[in-house]
Amino acid sequence: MAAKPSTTTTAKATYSPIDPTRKTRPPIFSGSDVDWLRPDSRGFHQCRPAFFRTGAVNSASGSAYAEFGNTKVIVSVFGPRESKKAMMYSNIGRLNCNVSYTTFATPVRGQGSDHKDFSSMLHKALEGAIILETFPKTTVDVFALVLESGG
Amino acid sequence: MGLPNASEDLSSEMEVDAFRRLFPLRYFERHLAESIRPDARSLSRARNTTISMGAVASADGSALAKIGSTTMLAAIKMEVMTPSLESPDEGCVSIDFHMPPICSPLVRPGRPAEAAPVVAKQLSDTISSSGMINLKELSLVGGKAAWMVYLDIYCLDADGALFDAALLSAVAAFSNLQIPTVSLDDGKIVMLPEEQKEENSEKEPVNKEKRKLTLGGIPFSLTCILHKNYILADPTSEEESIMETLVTVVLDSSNQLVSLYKPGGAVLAYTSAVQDCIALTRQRVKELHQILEEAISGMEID
Repeated sequence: MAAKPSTTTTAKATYSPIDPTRKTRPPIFSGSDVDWLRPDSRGFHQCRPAFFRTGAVNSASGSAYAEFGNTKVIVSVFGPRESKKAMMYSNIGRLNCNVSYTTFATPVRGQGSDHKDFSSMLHKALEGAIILETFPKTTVDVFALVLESGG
Repeated sequence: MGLPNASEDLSSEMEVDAFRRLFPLRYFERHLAESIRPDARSLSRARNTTISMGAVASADGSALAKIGSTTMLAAIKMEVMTPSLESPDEGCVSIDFHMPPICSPLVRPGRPAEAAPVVAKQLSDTISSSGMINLKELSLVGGKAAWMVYLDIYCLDADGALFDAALLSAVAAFSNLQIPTVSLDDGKIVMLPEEQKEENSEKEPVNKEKRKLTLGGIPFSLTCILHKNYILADPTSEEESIMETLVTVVLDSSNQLVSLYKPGGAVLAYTSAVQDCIALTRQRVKELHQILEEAISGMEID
């Protein structure tokens, strides 16, 4: 794992004391019983309870905080605002999505960089929901930050 | 929130919001002349501050600090490292400050905020010079293994006074930190799962007793803006963008000066202005100390 340079010495390699391979997971298919429950005692078709709150970020045009069980995400929407000068003229609006993880989102500390695959999935999902013709020449930015990743 | 329409200026002909956008400096100065600010605070009052601990369940210590709308989430993760040869019984603290694009319209994914590395450096200098953390407590096996503390602070909403909120969340996260119990397992440190504590296995826990850090002098800070002969405590981002001279004073809990930071600006400060800032900070330290104590005792009851 890439190390963080500290102020007094050169870059150190560190490791997390959590050993993910040691944890034995119970086998999911135990016996032929059809009524078994998932590890968190949910049925097959049950979803985790969700929690939503809008207006989480005051600096944004719109924002929301969502929780699905252990997965926690904050999203901000900015716009419509001017497209960057380098972009070509377009007579429909543009949508720009970006999803990034915090370093503490995963049990073992990660690098927290952004995930281009989730960003493009989010873009495809929202494209159908936004009427781009109503804001030509501008861009709507949607930024998501995953605070905790529980699936 | 209306301006008195007694003047013959342009202000009487346009709406308040338009005036605020077009002539921000005059808008603020009209308020300052009455010793009040647009959000009805007095010049020396800070915004409502709250701390909540244990915000991130997967981290070893975490805290969410809010000063007005400015929100900072700090999380600590501990990893194991081999200490350096010059200090074989000391651990290490690495502080990282991130401003993700959600926090402010000025930050874009490809272009990180200007304020982020500045605040990060200020934070690591302040925390190391305040002597809050004793690095010797982070040692596990002398010369072979020590804790590396990764402190990550994320700004979730940037509305002025970033350094104050970041320092407060860092201090709260350290107060909340619980060092995991680990043991030595053929040369490598592994985490002891909770069930093994009762069994007397051959793995000797390396640090069974010590689970919380003892904190030395805890630093608290206040940022003030100097404008002509006014001093405004705890600015919002709108105030910061118009009046650019900032002074940040960091005092520890015994009112000793840890750091004083005045990065240039149009207003040059006389000694009296600096002393006034320090006096304001002294008052603020008392408030912050109380808020931190309440948050800590709130956690312990649960």
